[in-house]
Amino acid sequence: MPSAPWSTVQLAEFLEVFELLEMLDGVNMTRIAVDRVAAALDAEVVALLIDETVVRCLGFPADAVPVKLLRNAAEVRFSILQVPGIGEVHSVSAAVSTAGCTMVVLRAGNPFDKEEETLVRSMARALGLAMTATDRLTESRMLAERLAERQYLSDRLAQIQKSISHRAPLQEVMDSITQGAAELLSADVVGLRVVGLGEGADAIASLAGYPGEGLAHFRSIPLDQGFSGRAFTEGVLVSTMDFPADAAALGSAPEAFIEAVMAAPVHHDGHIVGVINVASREVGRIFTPPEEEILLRLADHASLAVTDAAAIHALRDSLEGERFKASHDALTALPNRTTVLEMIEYELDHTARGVPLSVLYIDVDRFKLLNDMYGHSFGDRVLIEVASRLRSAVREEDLVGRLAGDEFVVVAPGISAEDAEALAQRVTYQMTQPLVIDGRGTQLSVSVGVAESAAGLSSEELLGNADVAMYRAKTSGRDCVVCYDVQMRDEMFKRADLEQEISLGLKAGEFVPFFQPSMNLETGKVHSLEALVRWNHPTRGLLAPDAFLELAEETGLIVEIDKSVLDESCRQLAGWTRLNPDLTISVNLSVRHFAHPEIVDFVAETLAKYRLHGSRLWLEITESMVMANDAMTLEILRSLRSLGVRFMVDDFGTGYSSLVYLKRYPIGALKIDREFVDGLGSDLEDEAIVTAIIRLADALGHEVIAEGVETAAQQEWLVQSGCIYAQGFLFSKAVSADALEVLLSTAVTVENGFL
Amino acid sequence: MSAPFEAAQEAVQSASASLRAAGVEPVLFVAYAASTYDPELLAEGFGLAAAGVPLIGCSTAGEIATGGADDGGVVVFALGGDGFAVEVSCQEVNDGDLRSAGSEVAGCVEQLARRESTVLLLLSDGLAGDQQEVVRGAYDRVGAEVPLVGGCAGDGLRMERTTQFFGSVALTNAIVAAAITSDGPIGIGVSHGWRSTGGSMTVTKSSGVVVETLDDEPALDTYLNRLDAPAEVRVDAAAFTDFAATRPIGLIRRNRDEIRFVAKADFENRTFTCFAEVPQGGSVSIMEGDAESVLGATDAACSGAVETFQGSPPKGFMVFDCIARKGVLGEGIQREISQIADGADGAAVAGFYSYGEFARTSGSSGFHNQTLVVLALG
Repeated sequence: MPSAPWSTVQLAEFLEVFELLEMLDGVNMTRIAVDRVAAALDAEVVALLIDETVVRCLGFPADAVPVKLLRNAAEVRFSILQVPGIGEVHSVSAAVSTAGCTMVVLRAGNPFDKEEETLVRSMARALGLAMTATDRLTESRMLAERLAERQYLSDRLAQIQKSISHRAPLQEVMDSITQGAAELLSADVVGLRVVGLGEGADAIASLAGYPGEGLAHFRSIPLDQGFSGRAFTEGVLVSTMDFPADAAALGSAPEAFIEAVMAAPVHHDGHIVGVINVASREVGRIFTPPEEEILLRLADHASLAVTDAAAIHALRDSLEGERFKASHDALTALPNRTTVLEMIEYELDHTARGVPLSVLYIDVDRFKLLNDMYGHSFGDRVLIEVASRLRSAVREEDLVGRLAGDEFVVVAPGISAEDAEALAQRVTYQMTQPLVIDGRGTQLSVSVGVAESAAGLSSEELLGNADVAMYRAKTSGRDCVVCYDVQMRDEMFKRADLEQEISLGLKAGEFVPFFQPSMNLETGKVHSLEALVRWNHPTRGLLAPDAFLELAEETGLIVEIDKSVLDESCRQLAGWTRLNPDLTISVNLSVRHFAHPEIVDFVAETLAKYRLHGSRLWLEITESMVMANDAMTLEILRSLRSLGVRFMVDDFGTGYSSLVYLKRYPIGALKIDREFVDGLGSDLEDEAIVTAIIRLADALGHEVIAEGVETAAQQEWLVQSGCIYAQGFLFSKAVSADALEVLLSTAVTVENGFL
Repeated sequence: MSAPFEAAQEAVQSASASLRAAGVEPVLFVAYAASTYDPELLAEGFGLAAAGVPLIGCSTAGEIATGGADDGGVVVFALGGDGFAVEVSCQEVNDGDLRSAGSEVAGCVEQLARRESTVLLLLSDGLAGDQQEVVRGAYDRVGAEVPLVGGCAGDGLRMERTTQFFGSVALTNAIVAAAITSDGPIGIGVSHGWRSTGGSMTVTKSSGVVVETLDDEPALDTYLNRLDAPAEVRVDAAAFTDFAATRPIGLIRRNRDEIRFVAKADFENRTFTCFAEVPQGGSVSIMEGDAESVLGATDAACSGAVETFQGSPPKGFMVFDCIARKGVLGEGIQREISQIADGADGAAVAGFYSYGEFARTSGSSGFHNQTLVVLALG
């Protein structure tokens, strides 16, 4: 058993830490301290506060520290609190030093007992001593104060920037600047005036700290008069701590009781258009250089606001009339891609540093399917509805645009990606509300990518990032929101590389068919071949379709791959005619071909090129293919059938298995999926399904081929049940053309199950 | 033993097939493989067979599956269905900074749209340094809201090199993670079954994971003498590791002893190394356990994991079982596996014998040694 109580041991360990870590700076010392305290007390949260600033906190992600809650906990020795994500916790706090540093410990579950409270107090005191000993506390305290001051300044400036970027009315922005100046500079009176902007902009004047009729009087003073007038005429910051004397020297009547004044010019388009001035009634008040700096920054903000207001005015004017048409999408009347990019560019240029700008890239899920299923006019109505729902979901200051097709964008100034995500969630929610067009009900969903501006990012790049995130949303199941992160772009690059490799591979003839024979189980001879694409990659070796098919499908490169496989398969088949004149071949084609009638010509040309009759070629189609795309598919299949080409349904029984399409489409064979074949001889249900498929094929006069036959028992079962064609590893895997030629040249049978 | 590439593919495919047979699409594969396989070939097989579904995994000191414990195989756990969503990540440990690596790898939680319950699964390289730092880093990032679970990769007690798998990539000196969120409950059970042999010692000198002196005497001698270790153990590194595997030390903590696996002896400097920090100034004692206490812990961990399930059966059990427990149980290992299977109540079980276990459900600490950690997913 332990010889000392646990708390003594904990404290001993804790004290040792400081001895060991004396060489550490305050930051590392506090970090290790909170780790140790948390470990010793089994606590979820340990925080250090200096006055009201949290200088160190364990137990919350950095962006989710509940400052207010910790402040409250620091004020009392014990309390019970509700903490988001943790639930009810017990808190204990202890002074780290007399200089306002407090340690707060939160623990879910058991309350702190006396011994534990003592331990917290001892540890806090030990930390305080260690910090004071090296003067680190003072450092930290000064740092905290400076941080707090800087934080306040930047908060205040950010507020002003926000009102500018949110396009608040100019008067409102000016008021926030004068109010901000009064607080930041502890000034008694602050005035801001701007002239010469036209359209009533002369009326822009704001005054803080001056009651009643002050504003009217303020407006009446010519801008180039008096002490502050020097800032207007000279274009520099002016400052005085003896205002009465300086004003008298300039021949103007000094304002009552004003002691110190400083003033700075406001610019627009290279000209001085206004002045901001601050005044103090405090005797002996001197405006310090940092305070002058703050006033200059506020004047810059006023300049920015004026420029922005003027530019928006100009842009709005120019957008009217003809330009509107060129810059907007005719269908939805939303700004088009070019305009959206201009707006983003403008926002990026004119938004002050630190004010975020977020972009939502919105793509309607499965829009193409809707369009194909219900026609283009239905699709157009859907797009108009999407535009309308987007407008109603976003904030007034957000810009909604249509980029192309079913892709929309929302430009949201002044909000971070996190807030934009909430906005995007609102958008996705709105979109999923049921929609009825021409009496046809449907439900939409959208995939949304969110990206936030960052230093140095162009409008194209920002939009591109949102696009990348949207792409991720698509691939992670649609109907969701994804915020951009850098890794996603890397993935995109990888995919882009792969896409390029596929293109190059196509040119270099690296996509080749492998052939898997299907056997006639009665004669033991090869009945037909299935062509399966392989990528003979120059560095990665022979690749199976799962390494490239998905991307090839997405990018449309699959069309070229299929064509090359079809061509080469037909070429080989023509060559093998001498070995087996009845040999047929089946080729898998992507669903994309069945939306384009060109495929008919291509097949006809290829057959003619190799002097093959159409009946030597089978095309494999899937159940979903024929279900999704009715009229056009049917027409293409019929045209191909007229060439003699036949169709087999791949993986029969795993999709919709609608009997209607078996009747409607010119189908000649069914392939029994390996999933069912696996269970032959062991699973009664699989056996029943396979029996049913064989009978169905028989009744419709279709051939039936079992896929994935791996055991002699499965083969035996199939023969007994009347399925005479089979393919699978039992006979041969897919092999190269050369290997297949050897197989065909040898008189082989399936006596022992293997070729 | 079959070829690594094929073994990996087969294990993923079979896990995937059993899930798909139930009409469920996999969203995550967690793979455990013997360190005797070529890790690169394994990874290729994993990546190919996973076909785009996230896969993480590691090498082991033995694999655990519903069918029983294995040593020298590949076990793949497939998690699937609409009820779960997963984000994965991996991070190599740079300059020994496990805390930063832990924090980086935990970033995957932020990418997840969290549902009813969420957990962060970590598989790390137990030979990379103080694993408590991994927990600290991950905790810095995700806070108290998300429990942490997982284990340290093994290499069949050779203590040379472990592997972490991330899709088709084999890494070493890395952490892989999966943030799992579920519409149902998620529970974690932790138990070790070791008892103090009495007579605590003060850690008079230690630096990180290396214990230099105990009660002012060379730590290695104190440890060996207290245990009356046989001669071979005093000179042979492998014999020492075997011997120490069932004789951990315990750090005295608030409601429990924190177990530390004694991994390696330095016969020259008379020190020994643990898998996590042993703080200077603390008190430790040597722990002991037997088959009964270890099996008792098995039940406790299993029932702890499903405590919040309110009787509904779990969908899967992942277990992280310290290799030393296997040492104690010896041939009785099958009993532990069947106890776990009972606890899983028919759910799939997969796991491995590890070099340290992660489980943080309360407090901020969460690295364990010689412990059984059970993650129940509902």
